[in-house]
Amino acid sequence: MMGHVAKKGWIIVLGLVLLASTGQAQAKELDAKNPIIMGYMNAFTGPATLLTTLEVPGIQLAVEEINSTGGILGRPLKLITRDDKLNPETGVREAKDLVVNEKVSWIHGCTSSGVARAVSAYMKGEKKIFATSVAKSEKLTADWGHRYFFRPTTNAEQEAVATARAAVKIFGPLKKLYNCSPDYEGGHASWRTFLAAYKKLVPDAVVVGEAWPKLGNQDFTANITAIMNSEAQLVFTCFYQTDILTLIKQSRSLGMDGKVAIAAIWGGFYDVVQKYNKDFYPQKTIAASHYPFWAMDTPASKAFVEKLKSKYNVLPSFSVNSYAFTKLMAKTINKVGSLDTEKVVDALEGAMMETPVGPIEIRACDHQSMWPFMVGLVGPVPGWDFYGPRDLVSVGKEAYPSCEDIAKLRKP
Amino acid sequence: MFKIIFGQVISGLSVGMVFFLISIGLSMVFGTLRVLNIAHASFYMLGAYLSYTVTHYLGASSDMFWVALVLAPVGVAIFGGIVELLLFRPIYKADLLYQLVLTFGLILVISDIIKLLWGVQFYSIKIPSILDGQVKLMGVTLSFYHLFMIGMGPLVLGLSWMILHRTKLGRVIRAVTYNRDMASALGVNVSLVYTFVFMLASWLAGLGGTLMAPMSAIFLGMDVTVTIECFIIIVIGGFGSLGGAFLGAVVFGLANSLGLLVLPKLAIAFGFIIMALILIVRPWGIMGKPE
Repeated sequence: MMGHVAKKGWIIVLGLVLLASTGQAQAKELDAKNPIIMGYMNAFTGPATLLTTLEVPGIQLAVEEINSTGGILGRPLKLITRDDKLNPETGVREAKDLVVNEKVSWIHGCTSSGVARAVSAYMKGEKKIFATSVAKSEKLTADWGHRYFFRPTTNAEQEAVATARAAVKIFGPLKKLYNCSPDYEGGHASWRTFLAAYKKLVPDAVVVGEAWPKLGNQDFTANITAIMNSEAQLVFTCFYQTDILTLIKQSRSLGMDGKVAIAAIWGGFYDVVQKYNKDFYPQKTIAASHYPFWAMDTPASKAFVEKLKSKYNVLPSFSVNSYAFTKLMAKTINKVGSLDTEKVVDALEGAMMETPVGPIEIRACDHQSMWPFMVGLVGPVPGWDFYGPRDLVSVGKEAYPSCEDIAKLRKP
Repeated sequence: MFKIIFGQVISGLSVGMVFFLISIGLSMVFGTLRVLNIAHASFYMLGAYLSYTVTHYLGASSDMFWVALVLAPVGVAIFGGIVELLLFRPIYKADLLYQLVLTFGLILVISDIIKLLWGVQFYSIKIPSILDGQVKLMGVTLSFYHLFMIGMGPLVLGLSWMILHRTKLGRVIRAVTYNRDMASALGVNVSLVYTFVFMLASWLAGLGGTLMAPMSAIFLGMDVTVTIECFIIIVIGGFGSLGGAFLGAVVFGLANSLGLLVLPKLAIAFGFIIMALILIVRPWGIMGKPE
């Protein structure tokens, strides 16, 4: 039983403590108990995990930088990751959990366009923002696009158009084309778009042969022999990762290397490029990347590469997109002053996203970023011990479909 | 025209020979141990990864490939021996379904072990310098390395046949294959034979992986790219027959490469079509025995 005086004393002490603690909260410290949460989902199991590991460090770096400069609305940004196992049902299930249970403010992720489509449809219903920076299908921002979906990277259609234009610029108007691409929807779409764009520039171009080996094909000898026996001047291939390496190795081994021009649209991302060196690289080949950092020497790009390397021991690939968009989300929410999705979406439309590549517009009509695709001949790159595309031809906004085209595709 | 066909024949044979090297082990294991090891291609993948580690850590020169060619398959054989002792022994008497489930699980386990040890990125090793070039034969350009791969096929077939038919060990293996219980009654240590055959099959799969590696890339999921093809080859050639595996591989390789000339869009179907025909007309394979 406390006496009167003691009780008063305790009340005063309590009051002083409370006063002191409110003073603390008024200092600019982030309230760790009340974070803003973003979700990231992608494949964390299986071979596609590689692409996940190329994308995640960008978000981690962004989260770190955001939190060290005041967070979002004074609250820290927290990242939660989920495995979608490259499966649409799993993706939607995880998205539901992230939105309903974890109360995320937005979700980023998905390598597979199939999964992205399913998650995008779900997020549209929930009126929550969803962004992908690996999934390539142009349909995600066209036919399947909507108010809450954003794509802070290139898309497959634009990449094919860009490659066609760059091929003509770099090789001249070669007329005899050969296609050797993987037999799946992405491969077919890429070739179709490339050919159409190429024919606009070289109307009398002809296709002298086509081959459709499957993804993961281990032996291209038959295809390479067929190409060498045809009159092909330019070979288009959208094989990527290990398949393009296989194709190049076997092309060298059979003596095709350097004899015919090659447009390896997806043979210029960092995961492949790091395997090229002076003893092994494809000659007379153009390859492309949305971020060929080895050939860019702006201070912003150099700084980003350095930060990613020193903190996460990885060189950029898809990290650049996820980094740029996460920072854009933080900046936009801070500018708008609230987490209200509608207000944030309105502010994102037409916004200029800061990226190590330069400022890039998030187009209002379809939320597709006007990210440029950069194409160049593979060769030595000063300052790095690998070979890669350089003397880049950058193709940006002009290769994306117009807003009118998008509107037509979205008509029910 | 001849040039084109000849070129396709050579390419079909070289593909076929690598598949033969992988399939021969699968056929051996089924013939002698009566186990369908659908994880066989995982040993192929392991061989490729080991060949990368050997070439990478013993100096990056492309001639380290020859060292890898010796060491990597041995590594896979040792791993195969451990797997046989721990996992396969209990299931020899079990239903085919159990074997399938176990070996399917093994595919996932081996894949994850590889992911744990080597990570998710893919790797590349170079063709050894001696074999890095081409030769023109009858107007067709042939890669030295492909010719090497084609040569390995008959070499391995010949060696296997010699071991099986001209050595005591081979006689023992054939006895166990023919009648396990009788062989056991005659004093043969059947368990030891089983382990040996499994290790040999793993060695062959590892060899296949090492041989394939300089011609493509080393990555998680490369087992899946050859599994189905190996089964097609075994079905065409006949389970348990070495010569059958060779024949099946040649047929498969040629069907694919010549099919590419005739109907490029359907080329990948040709192997399957031939397999289907064999199953209808002669289900035990060209050189298999009806059971």
